[in-house]
Amino acid sequence: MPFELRVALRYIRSGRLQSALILSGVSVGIVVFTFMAALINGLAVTLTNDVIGNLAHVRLQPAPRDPQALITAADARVLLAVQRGNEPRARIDGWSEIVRQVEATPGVVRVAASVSGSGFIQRGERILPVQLTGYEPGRESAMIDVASGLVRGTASIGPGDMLVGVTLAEELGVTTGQRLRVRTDRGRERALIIRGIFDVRNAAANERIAITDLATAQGLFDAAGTVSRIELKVVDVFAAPAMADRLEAQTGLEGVDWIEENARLQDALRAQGSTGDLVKFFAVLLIIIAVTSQLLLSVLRRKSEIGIMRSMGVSRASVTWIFVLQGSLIGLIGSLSGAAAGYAFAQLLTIVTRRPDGTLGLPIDPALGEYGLAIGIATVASALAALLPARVASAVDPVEVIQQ
Amino acid sequence: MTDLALRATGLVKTFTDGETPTEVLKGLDLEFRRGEFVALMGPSGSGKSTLLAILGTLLRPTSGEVELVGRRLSTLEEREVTRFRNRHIGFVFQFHHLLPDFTALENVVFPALPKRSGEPEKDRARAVELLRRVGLEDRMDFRTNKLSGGQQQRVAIARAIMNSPDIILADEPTGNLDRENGAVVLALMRELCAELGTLFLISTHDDAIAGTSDRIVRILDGRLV
Repeated sequence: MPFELRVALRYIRSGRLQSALILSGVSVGIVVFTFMAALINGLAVTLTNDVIGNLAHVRLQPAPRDPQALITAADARVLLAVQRGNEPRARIDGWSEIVRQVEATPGVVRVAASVSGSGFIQRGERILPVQLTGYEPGRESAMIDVASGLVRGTASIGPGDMLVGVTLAEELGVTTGQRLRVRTDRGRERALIIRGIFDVRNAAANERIAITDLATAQGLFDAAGTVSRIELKVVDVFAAPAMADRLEAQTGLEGVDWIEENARLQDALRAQGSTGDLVKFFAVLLIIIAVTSQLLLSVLRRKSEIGIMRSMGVSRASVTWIFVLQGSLIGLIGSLSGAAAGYAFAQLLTIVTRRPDGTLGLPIDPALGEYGLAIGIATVASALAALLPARVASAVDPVEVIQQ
Repeated sequence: MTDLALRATGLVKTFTDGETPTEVLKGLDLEFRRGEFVALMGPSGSGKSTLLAILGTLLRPTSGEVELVGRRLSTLEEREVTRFRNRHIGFVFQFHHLLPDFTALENVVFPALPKRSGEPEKDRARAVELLRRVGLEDRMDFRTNKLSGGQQQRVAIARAIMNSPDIILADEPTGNLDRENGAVVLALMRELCAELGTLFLISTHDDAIAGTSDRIVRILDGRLV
């Protein structure tokens, strides 16, 4: 062990009260750091899960086609325009082959082809708008997890069946087993039997979403034999844009990812993250100030010892190292205990704030406390904080000390 | 002269306080042999401590040259000077100046640490031997603040000879001790001087030291008298 490290360790051990105080200071700073990280990251995960729980991570749909010029003119420019609303309905031909390809892509969890469109549900005098989506049998819960949120009936349906949200069912005063007349924007109508009612903890979904069988939807939207989109869930939700690009290149379809479609969520998460970073920055700043002031005091107190060491042939560089190592050790030991205390504190909060239904009062995730980062930053910051005291120490004039 | 340990020629040291220069040493020429036991005497403010600091490489002279064991100190860079001091010079101070957070043994070993010999056991064995030599083998694991003044000074002497230096510079080594302990410390230094062949240069007001020394160098107002 280099002697500078031995001296630094001895200084930490011998100044017990001072060391205990400064180590507590660093620990408290790291508790704040890790708590903020666990809270902000936990909140981001909760919000993201709430949003993407009812969304496809990537949606593949036919790319909008540019109109083709049917005439050419050598010395003139041909202007082309598409009148909105008059485009042909989106359809993906050869979709089952594409679904197989996408399913085989690493990182993809689930795939579902669907036909989706707008429509109305009518009961008596009441008419409510719905987004009607038809999935292949067995894939009704592939995108929106209706199976887990089922409050009545079954999530598995066949031709002529339908699943509706709990709000929609309440507004129409219907329950499972009843029939409802559905009319689509294509003008087709059919009575569908409610087989299940779901509550997916999302007001819009509970109010507007209706799920039916693929063949039924194909019939209602004039899309026999085809689908309007292919949706997928991926392992790494934040890598969805890359997956969208990759599948776009692979299939020739347009890939839309959930991040692109939820820019405001991203903005909110970024703003939250910045707030958390600011608090973490101040926690580290306090650690730096505390370590600097404590070590400066230590240098002043040990001035005569430093002078004697210099007279014994200890170099200025070694004196500098002694105090930089002392700072680093304080940062390392303080942050290790702070990280442990921060984890315990976050765990405690998850227990104390847990609601009777098992959900968390605070969206804190103790596993996301960025403990390694906190320990690394605190150690490096404390080493940097020790530079000024170390510089003062290395400048001690042994003659002045001895003659005193 | 092969047994020359230290030679100083034309040593001048001027301190400038504001715009007033004060010449503390006014051209000293000195020569000391290995194994000599020399008392450096003179009234307070005569320049003794400044001379010791220059000979101990802690201060550079304004002009003049110091040659220690054949090396001209003016030719050395600061890092080399520090290294040279560690290997060739030992200090004993009036107020022992031991490191309070370390045991007696650790204090004695300390000068060996910057050498990074890679043989800590050998260094430790030598420090134990030195503590035995100064009669403190039963105190080696004591913190230095648990030792008496005389014991602390004996630890400081053991520390000064740890690296087998060529020269020991002692500034009033008995100045803070009672007569009995002063006599013990003086006798110890005299014995070590004879045993090790080390030059002892002792700044003192103590007539007992002057009486046992091989030579007395008197300094007054920055000049030899």
